[in-house]
Amino acid sequence: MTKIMIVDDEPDLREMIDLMMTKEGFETELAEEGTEFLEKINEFQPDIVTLDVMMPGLTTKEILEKLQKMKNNPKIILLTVVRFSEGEKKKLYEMGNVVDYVAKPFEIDDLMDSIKKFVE
Amino acid sequence: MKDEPYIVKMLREAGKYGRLQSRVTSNIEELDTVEEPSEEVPEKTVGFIDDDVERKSRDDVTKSEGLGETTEESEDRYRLIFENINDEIVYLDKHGKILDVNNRVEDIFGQKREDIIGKNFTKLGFFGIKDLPRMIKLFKDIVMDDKTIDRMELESKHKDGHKIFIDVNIRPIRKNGETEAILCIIRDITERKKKEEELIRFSNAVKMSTDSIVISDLDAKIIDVNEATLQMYGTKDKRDLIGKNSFDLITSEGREKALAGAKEVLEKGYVKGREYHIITEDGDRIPVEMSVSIMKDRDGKPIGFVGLSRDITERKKAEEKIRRQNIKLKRLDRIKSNFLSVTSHELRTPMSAIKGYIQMLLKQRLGDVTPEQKDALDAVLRNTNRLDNLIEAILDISRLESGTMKFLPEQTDISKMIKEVTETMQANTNVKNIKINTELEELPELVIDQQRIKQVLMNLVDNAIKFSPHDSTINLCTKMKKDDVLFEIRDFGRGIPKKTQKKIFERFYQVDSGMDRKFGGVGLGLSISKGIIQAHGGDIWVESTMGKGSTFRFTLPLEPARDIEKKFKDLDIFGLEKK
Repeated sequence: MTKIMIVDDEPDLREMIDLMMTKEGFETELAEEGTEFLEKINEFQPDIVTLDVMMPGLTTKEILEKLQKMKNNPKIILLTVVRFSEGEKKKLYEMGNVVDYVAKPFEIDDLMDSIKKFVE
Repeated sequence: MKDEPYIVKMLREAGKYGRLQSRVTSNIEELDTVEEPSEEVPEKTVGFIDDDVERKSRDDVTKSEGLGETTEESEDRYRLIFENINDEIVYLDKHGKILDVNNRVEDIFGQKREDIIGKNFTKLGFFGIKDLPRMIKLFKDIVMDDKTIDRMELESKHKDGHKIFIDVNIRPIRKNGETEAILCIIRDITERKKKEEELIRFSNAVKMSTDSIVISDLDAKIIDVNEATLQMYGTKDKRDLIGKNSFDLITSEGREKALAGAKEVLEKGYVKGREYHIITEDGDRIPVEMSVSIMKDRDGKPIGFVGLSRDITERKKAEEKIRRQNIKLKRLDRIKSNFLSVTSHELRTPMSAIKGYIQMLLKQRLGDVTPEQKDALDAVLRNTNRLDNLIEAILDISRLESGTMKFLPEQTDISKMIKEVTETMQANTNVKNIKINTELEELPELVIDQQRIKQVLMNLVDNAIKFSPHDSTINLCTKMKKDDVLFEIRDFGRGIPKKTQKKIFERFYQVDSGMDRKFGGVGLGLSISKGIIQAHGGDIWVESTMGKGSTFRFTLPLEPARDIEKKFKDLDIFGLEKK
C-alpha cells in the first residue's frame, strides 16, 4: 500500500488531505512541521510526502537538506502559494526528492492527479 | 617743402641745433582762453618760428656733415619717421592749438588730419570728457613749469563713439627757457587694456571663486592658491601651502588614485569630477570633487597643473541621507513583500481546506448527498470561488504595485491560447445567448506568461459578456501591428462614456456602480489587466461609443519584454518560509 505523509501546520488542511488520501485507500501519517516530519520518517518510511512550504521551525530548504543526508528517499510534492517557471522547477527538482508542486488553493483533483503520477 | 609738418621741422632743428630759438614770449594768461576753447584762436599765434630762422637753419644744414646728406634728404627721413611711427604725434602751440599731427590720428581717433589742424585740443575730445579739466591744468603746468607727462593712461573716444584707451606722453619744447610748443605722443592701448581687463576679470574670478584653485608646477609643487583654498584648508597664509606637494593635501588612501589621475592629465590634458578627501591644517578630512587640467606656456609646452576642488560635504551628506532612505525603503519593500507572501499563504490555506471539503462532499466521497444538500453545497462552492477570485485580485493588485508579481514567460501559440479562452468563456455566454466570434491572423509565437495573458483575455471577455445585450455577439480578433500583436475584444453593449474611458483602468473604478454592483466585482480587473500588459511591454486602451458598444485593445510586443523575468528572478522561490 502506498504510504503518504502529510506535512502541514494547518490542522484543517492537514486533516482534509488526510481524509482525501484515506478515502483513496492510501496509508497516511501526519506531521505539523519539519522536525516532527524528520523524526517520523524513519519509522513510517513514506513513499510520497506532501510538504507545505511555509511552516514554523525549519525552512523548506533546511528540511530538504536534512532529508538528503538520511537513508529514506520519499518523493516530495510541495504545497506552495506561488507558481514556478520551468527554470525554477528544474532548480527545485535538483534539490533532490522534490518531484512536483501544487499551488494553493488547489482543487482536490489537482492534488490527487499529482500524487497518482508517483504511485507505483 | 610745402606741407612740411612742424614736427618734422622741430625734430630736424632740434637734432641739428639743440634747443630751438624762439621769439615767442610765453604768456600763460593766454592759456585761459583754453578754458573756453574757441575756433577764433588767431592764426598768427601759430607762426612762432621765425621765417628767417627757418631759412637760415635750412641753409646751414644743406649739407649734413655726418651723414653726408642734404637737408631735403634729412627732412624726407624725418617725415618718413613722422608718418610711419606707430604712435600719434601731435604738435601744439602753447595755447593748445594743434599745429601738426601725423596720419595715425585717423586710425586712432577716426579724425581727418586736415580737420583738426588749427583746432584747439580741448575741442577734439582726444583726452575724453571727464579728464579734460585735469588735462587743461596739466597743460598749464607743462607750459609754465616745464613739467612732463609720462605714460598717462586715459579713456577716450573714437569719432564713431566707441571707447578707446590711450597712453599719453607730453613734453614741452623750450627755447631760451620758455615753452615754445608742446609735443604730445599718443599711443592706442585699447587692445592691451582689453587684455588687461580680461586678465583682471579672470584674476578676480579666480580670487573670488568659492571653489579652491591650486596652481602647481609639473612636479606638483604648489605655486599659488586662491582665497577659497586657504579657507578650505583652514589657513590664513598662502605660505602654509605654497611649496608643498599638492598630493600631500590628499589623504593617503586617495594618493594612488591621484597619481593615476595626474598621469591621465598629462596624457589627456584634463580629468574631471574626481572625488578625493583632503586633509586640512587641523587634520580634518573634507570630501572634494576635483578637476585638474594641464597648464601650458605660450608655445604649448606643459608647465604645470591647475586643480579646481569643490567642497562636497553637503552633497555627500545628502547622498548618504538618500542612501539610508533607500535602504529603509528597500527594507519596507521587503516587509511589504513578506507581508503579501504571508497574507497570500494565510488566505489560501483555509481556502484550500474549504474547497477541498466541499469538493469531497459534492463528489460524495464522504457519503451520499441529497439533492437539497447538493444545491446548498453548490452555492457554498460558488461563493467560495467568488471569494477566492476576490482574494486573488487583491493579491494581484498588491503584487503589481509592489513589483513582486511573478511572471513565467513561455513560448505561446496565440491562436491556440485564444481558442482555449473562448472555450472556457462560452459556458458563461449561454444565459444571454451570446456568440463569441474569433478572427485570428496567423501569428508568430510570443514569449509571454500565458496564464497571465489568459487572465487578461478572460477578464475582457467576461466584461464584454456582462455588458452585452441578449442574442448579440462578441468579436475577438488578433492581428499584427508593426512590431506588436494587437488583440481586440469588441462588444455591442451600452458603451462607456468618453470621460470615464481612461478612468476604468484605475483601481476600484466602476463606470456605473449600480450596474456594476448588479454584475459583481470590485473594479480591479482592468487595472490588473493593465499591470499585466504593461509588465509585458504592451499597452491597453478602450474605444467606445455610447449605445453602440466598446472595443478593448491591447498590444504585446513580438520582442519579449526583457526585464519581465529579471525583475522577478530574485524572488525567493519558496516565498517567506518562516511564520
